[in-house]
Amino acid sequence: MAHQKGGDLMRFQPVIGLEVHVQLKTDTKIFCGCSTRFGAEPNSQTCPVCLGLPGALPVLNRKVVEFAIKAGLATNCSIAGRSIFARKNYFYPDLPKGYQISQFEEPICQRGWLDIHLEGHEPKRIGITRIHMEEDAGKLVHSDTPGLEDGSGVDLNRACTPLLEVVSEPDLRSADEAVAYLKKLYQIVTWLGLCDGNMEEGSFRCDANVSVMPVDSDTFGTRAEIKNVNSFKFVKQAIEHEIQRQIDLIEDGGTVVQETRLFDPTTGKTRSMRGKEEAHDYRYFPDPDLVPLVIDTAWVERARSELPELPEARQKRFMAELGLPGYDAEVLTASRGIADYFETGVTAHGNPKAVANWVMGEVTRGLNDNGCAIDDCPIAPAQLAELLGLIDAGTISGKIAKTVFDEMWKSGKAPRAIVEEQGLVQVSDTAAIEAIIAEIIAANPGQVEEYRGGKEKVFGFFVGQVMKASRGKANPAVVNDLLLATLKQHPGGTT
Amino acid sequence: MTRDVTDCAIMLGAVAGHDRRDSTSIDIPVPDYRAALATDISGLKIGLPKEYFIAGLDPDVQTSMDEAIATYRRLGAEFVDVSLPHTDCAVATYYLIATAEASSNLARYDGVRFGHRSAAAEGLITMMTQSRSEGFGPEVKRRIMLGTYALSSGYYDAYYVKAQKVRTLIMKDFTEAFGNADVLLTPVAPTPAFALGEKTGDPLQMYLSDIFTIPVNLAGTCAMSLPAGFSAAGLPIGMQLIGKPFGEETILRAAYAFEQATEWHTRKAVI
Ligand SMILES: [Zn+2]
Repeated sequence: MAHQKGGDLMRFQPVIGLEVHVQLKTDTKIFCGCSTRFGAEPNSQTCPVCLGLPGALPVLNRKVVEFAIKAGLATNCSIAGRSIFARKNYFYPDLPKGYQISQFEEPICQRGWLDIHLEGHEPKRIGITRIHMEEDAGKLVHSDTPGLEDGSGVDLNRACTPLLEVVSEPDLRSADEAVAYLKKLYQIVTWLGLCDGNMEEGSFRCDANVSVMPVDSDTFGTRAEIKNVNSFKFVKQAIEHEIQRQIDLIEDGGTVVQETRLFDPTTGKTRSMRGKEEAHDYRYFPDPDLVPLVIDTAWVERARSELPELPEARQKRFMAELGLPGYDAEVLTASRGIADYFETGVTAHGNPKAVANWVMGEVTRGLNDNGCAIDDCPIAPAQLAELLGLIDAGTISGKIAKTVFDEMWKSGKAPRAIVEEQGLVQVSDTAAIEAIIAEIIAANPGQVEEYRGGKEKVFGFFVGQVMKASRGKANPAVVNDLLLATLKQHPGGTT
Repeated sequence: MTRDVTDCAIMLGAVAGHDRRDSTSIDIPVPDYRAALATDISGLKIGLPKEYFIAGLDPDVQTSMDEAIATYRRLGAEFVDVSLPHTDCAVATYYLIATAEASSNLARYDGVRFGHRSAAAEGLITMMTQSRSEGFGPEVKRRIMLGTYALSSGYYDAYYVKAQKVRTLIMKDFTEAFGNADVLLTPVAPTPAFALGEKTGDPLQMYLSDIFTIPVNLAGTCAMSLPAGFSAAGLPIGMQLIGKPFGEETILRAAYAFEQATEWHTRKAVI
C-alpha cells in the first residue's frame, strides 16, 4: 500500500525535550567585572579573564548564583547545597580559552517542573531535569561587515556573559506543547527580572531534541537535535517540520540518525549540520580554577523571600479577589509590567473590569502601534484611572474617551485638561439635543417617512446624524431616548 | 628559590595571602615568617616516612639523610616512623591529573589572539593545528596527548576519576602521618642531581625522579627543600621538609635550625 507524504501523524508519537539558554540580566559577566551591555564597540567590554589571557583566573559573580537560585525556586527545582563548575573543551575562534566553563555533574538546580495549559486540554506537568550556570562564547563577525572584506573578526564582548541552561525532560509530545512550555519559562524568567527576554538579540534561545516513536511503543526513537532557534514561531515550525521529516523517513523504510540539525527560517526546514561521528568529545572535567559552590539554606531562603508573587498565583488572585474572568486574568499577567500597570490602575480607579478592558484594549493597542513596552507607556495608570473617572461621571462618553486617550498618548497632558481645552464635555442637556434632533428631522423627510413606514433600521441613521452634528459630544443615551420619543410623537405624518 | 632560609621566609611573606582574583586562594592572615625563624627546635617531632627510605635509594643520598637525622637529634628533635602507603601511586596519579589540566589549560594557544600563529596556515583548522604543532615542544605535546586521552569519553572514569580518588587517599596518608609528627623529613629525590639533558630521552625515568616531591603537590600541603650534602661526584643532594597544611612556620624554623648547624648552603656544586 502506497503511503502519502505528509500523512500519518496518527501512527506516530513525537517526543520532544528542550534545552533553553537564558541570558542573565546581571550588570557584569559571570567570571569577571566586565559589563554585559549589548551593542557596544567590538571587544570594548573585555579584560584578561574574558579574553582568556594566560594566568587570568575566573571568580564567580554572586549575582549569577542568586539568579540561578531564583530561577530554580520558581520552576520547583531543588537547589543543590554543593555544585561544581566543569570545563567543556572544544576549539572555536569565539571561545578564547579553548573551553567553556559550565556545569556538568552536580548542577545548581535539579528535578523541577512547570505546568502548561493548552486550550481544550487538561493542564500538563513538564519535568525540568536540571538548570545550570555557564558562560557564553564570543561572536564571529564575517566579511559582510565594513573593514572585514577579506576575513572574519572575533568580538569577545559577549564572551563570559552569564547564561542559565534549562533542560526539560522529554515530556513534550507536540510542537504546541513545546511552545507552551517555552512561553511559560519565558514568562517566569522575564517576570523575575532574570532575563531581558530579547529573543532577537539571543537572550532566550533554545535547542530542541526531537524523535518519533510508533504510538503503541514505549521506546523512544533516535533523536535529532535542532540547534539555536530563537523565536516561538520558528520553534513551532522547526519541530513540526522535523517530526514530519522523521515520520516520512521511517515510512519510506529509512532510519533516523542521531545528528545535529539547523533550522533555516527562510525555507522552514531543518538540515543536517553534523552527524554522530563528527560529534565533539567535550572532555568535561571539574574546573580546577574554581572551588565547589556551597549554598546554605539561609541563602536559598533569602532568595525565596525576595521572589515576587509569581504569574500563576497572581492570575488566580486577579480572578478570586478582583473578579476578573480567566481570560482577562491570563492576558493581564502575561508580563509583570502589564500586571503591575493594571493593579496600580485598579487601586486608583476601583473598577477592575473597566481597567482591565482599557488595559487589554486601548493601552495594548497603543503599545503595539508604537512598538513600545509597558514600562515606556506615556500614560501612567493614575492618568488612565482619571480618564475612566470622567466616563463614570458622565463628563465624556466612552467614544470621546478614546479620542482623549490618543491625545494623552501624544501630548502627555492630563485627561481633564484635554477635555476642557478641546471642549469635549459631553452634552446631556435635553433642550440642546432636542434642538439638533428637530433640525435633523426637518432636513431628512424621506428617512422619517421610511422609519414611520416600519423600516426601523433607519433609526441608526438618525443617531449617527445627531452625533455628527454634535461633534460626538451628545450623550448617546440621551440622544437615543429623545430620538425615539420625537419620532414616535408624530405618528401618521402630515395628513 | 633563594640562597638561604631567611631569604625564603621574606620571599614567602611577600607572595603569600589571599588573592581576590584567585578563587582557590584562602583568606586567612599571613604570619610573620621571619619571626618564626629560631634555632631552638627541642621537642620537635620529625616523622620519617618509611616509603621514602627504600632499598633503591642512592647510597650517597642515604648517607646525607643519616647525617641530617643525626644533626637534628643533636638539636633536640625527636624522630618517629610514619607511613605514607600510597606513595607508589603518586607519580601515575600526578601524570594523569596534571596532564589532563595541562591539555585544557594550553588549549588557549590556538593562534587566534595571542601566541604563535603559523605562517603556513590556510584557514581556520590549519591555523589552529599548524600553530600548535609548530609552537609546542615535544614534552608539552606529550603531556597534552596524555591529558586529552585521560579525559576522553570512555576513559575518563578509568583514568581521570580514578586518579582523583587516589589523590584523596594520598591526602589522607598525610593527614594520618601528621597525627604523629610536626614535620616530615625525606630526600628530595632518590638520586643526586642528574646532568642537564641526561634523561630527556627517557621521560618515564625523568618523571620517576619526582617521586618524593609529587605526593606533596597532590596532597596540597606545604614543603621546602634545602641543601643537605654532596655526592662523591660532587653533585648536590637535597633534603625535603614537609609540613601540615599552613604549617610553613614550622618547616621554616626546622630548616633554619638545620642551616645554622651546617655549612651545606654555603657550598656550590662543581659544574
Ligand atoms: Zn572581562
